[in-house]
Amino acid sequence: MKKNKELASGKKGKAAKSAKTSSSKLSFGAGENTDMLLRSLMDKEREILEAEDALVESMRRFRDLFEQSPIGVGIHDPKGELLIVNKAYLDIFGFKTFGQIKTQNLFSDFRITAKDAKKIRAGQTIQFHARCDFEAADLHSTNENAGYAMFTISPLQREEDIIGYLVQVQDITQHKKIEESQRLAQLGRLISDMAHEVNNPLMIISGRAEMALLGDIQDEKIKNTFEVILDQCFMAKEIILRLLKYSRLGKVEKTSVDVVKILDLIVEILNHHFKISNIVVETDIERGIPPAIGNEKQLQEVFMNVLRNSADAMPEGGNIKIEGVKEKDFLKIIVKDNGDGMSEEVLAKIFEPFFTTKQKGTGLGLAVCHTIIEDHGGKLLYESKPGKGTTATILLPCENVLI
Amino acid sequence: MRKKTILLVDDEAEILEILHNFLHAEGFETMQTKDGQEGLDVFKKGQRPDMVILDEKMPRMSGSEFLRNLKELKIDVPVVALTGSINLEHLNPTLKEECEHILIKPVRLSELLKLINKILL
Repeated sequence: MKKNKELASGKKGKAAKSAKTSSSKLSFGAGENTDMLLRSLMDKEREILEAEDALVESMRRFRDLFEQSPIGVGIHDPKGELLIVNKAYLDIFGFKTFGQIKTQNLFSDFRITAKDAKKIRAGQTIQFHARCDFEAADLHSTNENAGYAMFTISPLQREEDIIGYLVQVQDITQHKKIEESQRLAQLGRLISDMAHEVNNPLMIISGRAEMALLGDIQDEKIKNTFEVILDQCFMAKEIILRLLKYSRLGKVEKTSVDVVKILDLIVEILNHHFKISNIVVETDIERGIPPAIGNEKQLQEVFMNVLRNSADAMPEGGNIKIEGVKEKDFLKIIVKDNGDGMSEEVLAKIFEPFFTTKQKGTGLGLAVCHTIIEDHGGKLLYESKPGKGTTATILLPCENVLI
Repeated sequence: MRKKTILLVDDEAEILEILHNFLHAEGFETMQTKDGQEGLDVFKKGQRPDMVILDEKMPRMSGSEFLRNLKELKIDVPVVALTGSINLEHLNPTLKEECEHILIKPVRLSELLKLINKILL
């Protein structure tokens, strides 16, 4: 600004000013002075243009930074009303225009605790993770398939005043998945180490019980006690093995697998069990359904568990119907039984590890199945009514679909 | 008929005792050793048991090391590994290559007997 003022006053005191602008040169006359002034003016003009360009460039840069940042950014006014958001913010929540979310209020829609609200009003930054259903734009979803978002909320300050709030949001679903798999790997190591220490005592207990049973025990009660001890030792071993399997899920190779062939195999394996339990299995699978992408062993485990559960729900016998169709990019396998069914409370817990209604269950079967199918990019769904039966639906991506 | 001899290698005294009592009752002779080194010494002394039941994790010499040494001595004997480790992927490759069978503890003695009979008879 100072230089501009100099230029403006240049006409009045040419000699003095030119001497100032170019102090290394001597002044020889009016013509030369005009030349020099012109050159100086052109220099200034160039400087101004350059400064203007730099300003435009800087503005562009900031706009690009705001608009193209992969981090969703929203700015709220001091009352919490939304003023502006960038593209990532809209994308993360699946909105197309600002108009769709302009009513979003920082203090009512983000479920910030009173404590956190106090903090940001006092000029502090808060950060929290939230289960977030991006498709439904639900910031705090209870849907277990929802993703995860990380929110960073900081006050925008000018001198002492808070002139608004900056909300940064990132979709950290992938990050959480990696964390989960790391956690499971860690759990796997822990289980392995623990198993090694626990299996020796289990061998000693079961070995002694079995030796006792080989002896001449007259008392049926005592005999039964040893049998229970023996059985429970192997149940403990089974739990540890299943836990290890649970922790190892997701680390397997996936190839093209013929689901129909897997189903046939499992039905064949269980055939004897079905016969003695008076269970009739009917299979209705669409001809020529494509293969799925998956791990054969894991899928065998899933179908084995699902079919066994159906059989277990029908102690008096009954029917199991297996249907298979291609639906869009998925294979849909439905296993329907007319067994005991489940109450809503039970249904809500069936995928929880260690939850079981069976006397000899580990409570890991369906937890493992659920994790396997989710890991395959599919879905395992259960519907049930007490006394009416249960329907399990397994959706698996077909071969030509990228997971 | 000569009684078959089974070499037991396990650092857990209780397990040695159970295996010995059981196998003895089933008509086998046993030799009890508490680690790979002791087990190897049996062979070095020129004794030749008919088969080996081998633990993996033991002080001084592990099951896998025992097997490597046995191979170096060009001794061919059927081995059943009886290990507490459930993580078969992490088991020493030697154990996987050299063993007839790998069983995870606990095992039913009746199952173990079936396997032994299959190997020895």
